[in-house]
Amino acid sequence: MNKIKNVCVVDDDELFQFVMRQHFERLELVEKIHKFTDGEQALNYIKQNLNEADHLPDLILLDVNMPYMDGWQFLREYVKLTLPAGKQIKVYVLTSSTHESDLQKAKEFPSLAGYLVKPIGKNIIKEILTELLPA
Amino acid sequence: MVQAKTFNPANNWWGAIAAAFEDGYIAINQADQIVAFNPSALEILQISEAQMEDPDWWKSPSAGALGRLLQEQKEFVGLKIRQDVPHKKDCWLHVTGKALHTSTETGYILTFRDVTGYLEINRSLNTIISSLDDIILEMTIDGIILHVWMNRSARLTLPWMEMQGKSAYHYMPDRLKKEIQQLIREVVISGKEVVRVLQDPLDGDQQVWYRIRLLRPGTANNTIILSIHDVTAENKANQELKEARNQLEDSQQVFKSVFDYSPTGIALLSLDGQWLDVNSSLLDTLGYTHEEISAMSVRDLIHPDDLDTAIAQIQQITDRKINSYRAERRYLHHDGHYIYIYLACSAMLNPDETIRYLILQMIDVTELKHLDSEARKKNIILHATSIDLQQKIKQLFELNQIIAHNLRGPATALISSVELLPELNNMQEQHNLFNHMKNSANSIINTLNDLKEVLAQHANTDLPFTQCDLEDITSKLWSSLNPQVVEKNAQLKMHFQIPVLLYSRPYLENILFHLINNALTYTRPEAPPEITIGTWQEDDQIVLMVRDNGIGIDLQKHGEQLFRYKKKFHRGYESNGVGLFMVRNQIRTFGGSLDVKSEVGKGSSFFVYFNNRVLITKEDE
Repeated sequence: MNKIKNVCVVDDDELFQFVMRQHFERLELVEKIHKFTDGEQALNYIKQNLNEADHLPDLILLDVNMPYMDGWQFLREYVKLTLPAGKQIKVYVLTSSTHESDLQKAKEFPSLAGYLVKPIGKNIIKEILTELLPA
Repeated sequence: MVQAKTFNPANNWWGAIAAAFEDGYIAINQADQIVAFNPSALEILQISEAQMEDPDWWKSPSAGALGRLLQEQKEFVGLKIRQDVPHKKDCWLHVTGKALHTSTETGYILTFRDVTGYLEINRSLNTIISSLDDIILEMTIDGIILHVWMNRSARLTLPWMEMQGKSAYHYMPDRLKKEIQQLIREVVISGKEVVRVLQDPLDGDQQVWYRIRLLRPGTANNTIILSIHDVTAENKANQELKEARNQLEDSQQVFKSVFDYSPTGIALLSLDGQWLDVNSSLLDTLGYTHEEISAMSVRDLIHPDDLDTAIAQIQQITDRKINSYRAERRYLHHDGHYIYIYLACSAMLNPDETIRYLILQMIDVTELKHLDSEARKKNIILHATSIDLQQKIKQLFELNQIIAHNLRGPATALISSVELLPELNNMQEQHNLFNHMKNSANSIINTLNDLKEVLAQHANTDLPFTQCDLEDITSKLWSSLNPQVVEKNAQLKMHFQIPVLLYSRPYLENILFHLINNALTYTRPEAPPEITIGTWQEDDQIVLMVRDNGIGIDLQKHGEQLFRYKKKFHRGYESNGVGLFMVRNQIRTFGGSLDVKSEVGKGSSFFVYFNNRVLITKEDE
């Protein structure tokens, strides 16, 4: 059975990180889960692995509200990066905000795969991962 | 003595008669030879006997008008000619020409008399008479005109000259004829001069007036002297004067009525400030009686602070630089308090353009003044409230963000964990989950507490404002931070241009504490901290600055998030991201704002702008 190689969860909420990890592990669809508690750490990881396509994530779940570098700041830097040829990364914004203003901000980044409002249950995770899996 | 020449020199008798004539005479025969003349002729013409007897001389231009008459040989009586005579400026001759016939011969004779002097007298007389009036007539009481003297400018168009010797009535319209007849009767009966002014005597439908005077030169003869003079100009001038006088009377009445009954206070002032006249409204406005105010100068009533301006403005009128001015001044009311007066002062001029007196009009605007300052105060409060509201909207927006992220975030995580819980069989995993859940619950509680504090700050606008001595507060805070100060060898500089600030002391202490604490926290190891704190006035705001030489903040990266809740920018420093958020919130509570300038690796400056309008409003309360 195919598995998704790398997933990055970028969120400063430890409880959220814990729950996500549990879901991913139970679903057994992901080989490796990378945990980052702010945008800067995630960005640094991606930058360091730009030449190592195998280490780059296939999926990023990105929280908006984080210290040091928030989700939007991360996205602004991320879109500037040049990914290895053929490499595709799906980025989902996860937020607890239901504000229209945040939704509008998300539209500034057409490369986003989606905008998800917390809480996010196991089923949603499964849907996202299934979509990603090679047919 | 020259003898008169005659046709027949032998006839001495005729010669003697001719020589005795005062008039000059010259006679010629058929052959145009001078055959006779008398000494008077030589005398009048101022020529010699030789010239007289020379036919060629008579044909020359020197012979003048008389020479021409002698050649024409026409008969006439009393012709007046102008003759050129040596050494005489002007010579007029009264000449008569007559053909002579004897039994044997024919000839021609000119007799002439020098009438120059007479004409001159006559001309002067005419001039004198004409200058008296336009037309002077001498007429009989029956209306027959004997003589006419006329001024060239006379406009009464009757053929005066041809009327001589005829009845004047023949030329006059009925109305005038009756008028003149009536006047003549009056003169004859009274024997005194009669004068009438007639409008348009010839019924020519013209706006003209003539004055007619009739008088009898003496009772002996039956003649009347009638003089006519065009008085149109005088009459019109008279009428205009009368109209002007009426208008003046009208305007005087209007002014008196305005002066007496105007609700505006009006006074006539001398240039040195004495009241010449005041109306009752002015007395009502200022509260004095007529006697009281008359005993004072206007300078006694003007507020001392307004007096210089008042004197300067009156001076401008005196110097004729302006004709009037308007001003607002305080005047001393009879009751002893000053009232606000809005006044207009203008100069009343004499015909020679000097100033006769000043007209002062005034109304009491004290009430308006109060309303105006009331409105201004309300406007300031409104403006301050508006700024305050804008800040509150920003705060609400921020609170909303905190609820969305910092409350809703951990809450959704808790929901997800409850969903996950049944799936966890491993005790260790359950234990881990519970620990995380506990932390999230605590985080929610902490955020709620922070929000409670923020809301408490908002509700705390009633906090008392006191005079806060900035140096005193700063020094005490600095002492309380002593361990850090000593550890980092920090220096403090204070420049308080505004030494005392009216503010809520606990808030000011908290703001300063956080800013100084940050400055002592985010330091560069290689640079001992130098912290400068100062205040100054900028436009209508007081600014408090806290400047450090620390690590600085990348404002391009973090600018918009700088004062947000639980935002952190520097790893490795103890920070919960709440301090600046709370500080800004406190500043905003009283309508102020917080700003920052920073350069990474060099330092940061925080500026607190205190909203003066809010402070003023607070002071007023």
